[in-house]
Order: sequence, then C-alpha cells, then structure tokens
Amino acid sequence: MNSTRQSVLNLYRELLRECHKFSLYNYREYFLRRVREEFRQNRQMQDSAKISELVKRGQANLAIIRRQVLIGNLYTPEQRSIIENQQRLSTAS
Amino acid sequence: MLSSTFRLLTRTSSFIRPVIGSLPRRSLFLKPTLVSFNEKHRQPSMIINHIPVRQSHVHYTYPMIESRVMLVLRLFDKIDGNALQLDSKFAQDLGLDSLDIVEITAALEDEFWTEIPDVDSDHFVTPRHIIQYLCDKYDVYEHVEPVSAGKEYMEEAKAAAERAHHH
Repeated sequence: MNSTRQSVLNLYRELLRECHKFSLYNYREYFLRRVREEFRQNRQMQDSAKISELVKRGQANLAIIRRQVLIGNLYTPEQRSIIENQQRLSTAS
Repeated sequence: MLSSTFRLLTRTSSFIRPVIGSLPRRSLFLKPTLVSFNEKHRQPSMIINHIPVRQSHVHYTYPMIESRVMLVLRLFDKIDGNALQLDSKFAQDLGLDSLDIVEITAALEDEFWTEIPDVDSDHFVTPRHIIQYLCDKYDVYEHVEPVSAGKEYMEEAKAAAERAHHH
C-alpha cells in the first residue's frame, strides 16, 4: 500500500515538473490544471487494480507531455497570448 | 489519430524536403529558435516565462530564506495566510494532504532553483522544517540572532531578503 502511494506521489511530482517546462502560458496552465484535477478526483481510490491502471495511464501521459514540451518549445509561435503580452509590456516600461 | 498523422507526415516528408531545400537558408535557421531575435531585443526578461537563476554573489541568510519560504506558502491557494504560523502543521492545522505537500515542494524547487528529493520532502511537517532544511542546504547557520552582531545586522539581512524579493 505504502509503495503504491509513494509511486503515485512520484508520478504526480514528475508530471508537475514536466508541465512546468512548457514555455507557453496557456499550455502550461492547462496541463497543470488537468494533472491536479485528475489526481484530486481519484484521491479516494481504494481498488488496487484501478489504481495501477490509472498509474499506467499517467505514465503514458507523462511520455506524451515530455514529447509535447520538446516540440512545443522548438516551435514557439511569434504571437503570444494576451496575458504574456501584458506581462511583457509592464516589465518593459 | 495522432500517430496516423505522424506517420503521414514522415511518409510525405521525402516529398516536402526538396521544397524546403529551395527556400532561402536563413529563414530555416531562424524559425525553430526559442526566442526570436526581435523579441530578445525588445524584452530581455519576461516574468511569466522567466527562469530564475541562482546568482552566486547572493548569499542566503536566515531571514531571507524564512521570508521566501513563508511567501511561497502564503501564495499557495489552499493555505489560509492568517492561520499560517512557523509551527503550524501542514496536515493537522492547515488541512493539506500529501498531494499538496508535493505541490509545495515543487513551488519551493522553483523558488530556490534547486531539487528536493522525496526522502527529504517526506519530512516536511511544518514551515520550520522546510526553513531548517533549506538553511542546512545553503550552509546558513546563524538562525539565532548572533550575540556579537547588533540589531543593525538583522536589519541588513532583512533588507537583503526584501531586495531578493523585488529582483
């Protein structure tokens, strides 16, 4: 029981860390929100088969996020979202 | 769906390549950079996409670490800023669970630009533990007000902490 708990927490940590690497604000916030939501939703899960299935899904998604971070940071669009632009203006002035 | 698109792209890439080759070379070099050149000129640092850098000439002091840790904790949306004390227990007093502790650890890692292993973050029970841990990490020992130094010393340290915030 304790080991699954530790592995779930590890996965959560890895996911959060990876999501932080998105350079685009929108993507970053979206993925962080989704990861948090998903973990909170299944917080009370007791069924160990279900848990291992969810962990597997989390690991698959972690791999996807890793790839997307890489690709996303290679091809960052010129145009930024309005919140990033505002931030940029306020620091420039 | 995604994988099929990917396959399609890789399959057609051989057709695309001659077209790309005929494009001017310069634009190819500029495209995939993280920050475009104009952008760099206009704005050296963006706060939202800002990567904190630990500067070697900034020395950590106890008040600095304490105020930064408390700031991170206060900014965490599940913690009530008024209830937060140095010795309030995360689980019992503040009602946080293990997922929250992981999030706090991630925020601290961002703030101090370091890595905190799980074995260490497991022992974070109160804010004081975190501060103690970080002080140990950065070789800060003068957490008790030194007898030899006057009050000015503490004032100076607090000012340094303030400056570190506003950087």
